[in-house]
Amino acid sequence: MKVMKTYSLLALLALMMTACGGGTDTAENGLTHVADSKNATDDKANKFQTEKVNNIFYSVPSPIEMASLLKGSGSKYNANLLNDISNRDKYTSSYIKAINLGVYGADLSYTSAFNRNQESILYMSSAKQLADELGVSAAFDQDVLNRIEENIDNRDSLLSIISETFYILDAYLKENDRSSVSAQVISGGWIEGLYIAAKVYEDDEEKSEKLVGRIVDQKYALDDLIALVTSYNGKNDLNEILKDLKTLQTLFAKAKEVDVEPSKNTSGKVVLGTSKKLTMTEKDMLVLVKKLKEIREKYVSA
Amino acid sequence: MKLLKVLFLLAFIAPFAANAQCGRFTKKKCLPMLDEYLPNENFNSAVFMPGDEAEINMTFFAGQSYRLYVCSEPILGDVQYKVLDLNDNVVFDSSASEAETFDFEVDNTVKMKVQITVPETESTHNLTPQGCTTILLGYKDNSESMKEETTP
Repeated sequence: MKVMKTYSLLALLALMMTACGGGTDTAENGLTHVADSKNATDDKANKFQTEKVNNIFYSVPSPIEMASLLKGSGSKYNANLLNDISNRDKYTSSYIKAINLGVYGADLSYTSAFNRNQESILYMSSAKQLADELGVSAAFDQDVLNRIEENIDNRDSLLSIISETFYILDAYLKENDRSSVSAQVISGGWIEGLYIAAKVYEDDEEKSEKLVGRIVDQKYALDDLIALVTSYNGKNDLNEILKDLKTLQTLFAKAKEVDVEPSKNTSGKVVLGTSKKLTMTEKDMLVLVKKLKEIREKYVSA
Repeated sequence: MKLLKVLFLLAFIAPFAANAQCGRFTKKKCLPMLDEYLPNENFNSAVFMPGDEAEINMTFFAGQSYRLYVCSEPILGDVQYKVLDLNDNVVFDSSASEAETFDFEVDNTVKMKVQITVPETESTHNLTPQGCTTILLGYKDNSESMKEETTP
């Protein structure tokens, strides 16, 4: 009887926690809570009065989008820019593994966007190994690998499988209280995507204006990435990456807005845009590229 | 006794199960709505309750085509969202649109803000409904139309 009472009490307690705390997961999702000014205990009419939650989410462009932008700018494929797959066995700490999972993900996006099928398989395999070691193999299961092999010659399907896989990986991490790992993966992917673009720019004799635009526009994405990393840095385990991102932010601050003529909308679709665009001098671009190379090298050679 | 044990277990598992359900819900009900658009790889989803609000800043890049979709469990009612520019001008309002998704193209790279509002409900009982809401951004790969140049 005593045991039954204990179980009943505990079950009731747990149910109350469930009813009142539905949104509390949000702190781990990088969300900010703003409690309702009305205290639940003051409102006896509604004993399950819940707090009003103000949720703030963060969005950072995927490496696959950067690869697509790069290809769209007319740049050439260069396998030498990618992180060597043999490096994967050197990564020992979870922190470095997570960042390089993002790096290999970005490399995979790059190879796939440029139809480099064999390289794509190798980079998917490297990403899977790091995911397994991080305990997130659920996102990279055999089914994903089978689908990749079946669609290896179908670029659109391949890009779709890769995007979905990394999306599910992010969901898995956030839903299992591993949001700081998610931030590490996202940061690694963003740095690698930008590094590839920056190296392409550095090697481009003409210093294509389109390429400059692709890189400088990442200034906006960096602001969002810093906000995301800051929100998941409750345990200060992201201090190093945050410091590096802020260093890049100071260099991106050299970008200037210039007026542009909005193009005419002939597609009949909704077109968003502004009459401004960002640009940066070659000198400032090269300073940015140099720092980016240092930061990227630190993580891939760790 | 057995029943109590089950209830006890269920009660403790429920909060975690609810959170995990957002991933399953998103995969099953939301991702298919992106159709030929590739999902942005950030999972932005949470359990919401009536009256909750959310905000997300997004950067949309020049030359790309996007699909924005806010996907909610039916128990939350008609969840609405607005897309605003940095001067708070409304660019899209789901309550004034018949389309479930907001499809658009981007001329010059632009930062926007998306605000989501879960409607208040008049509850006839003491339990507050709660359900998942996911913000999905998909983009269309436009690069293939350009000539591929490769190094040997």
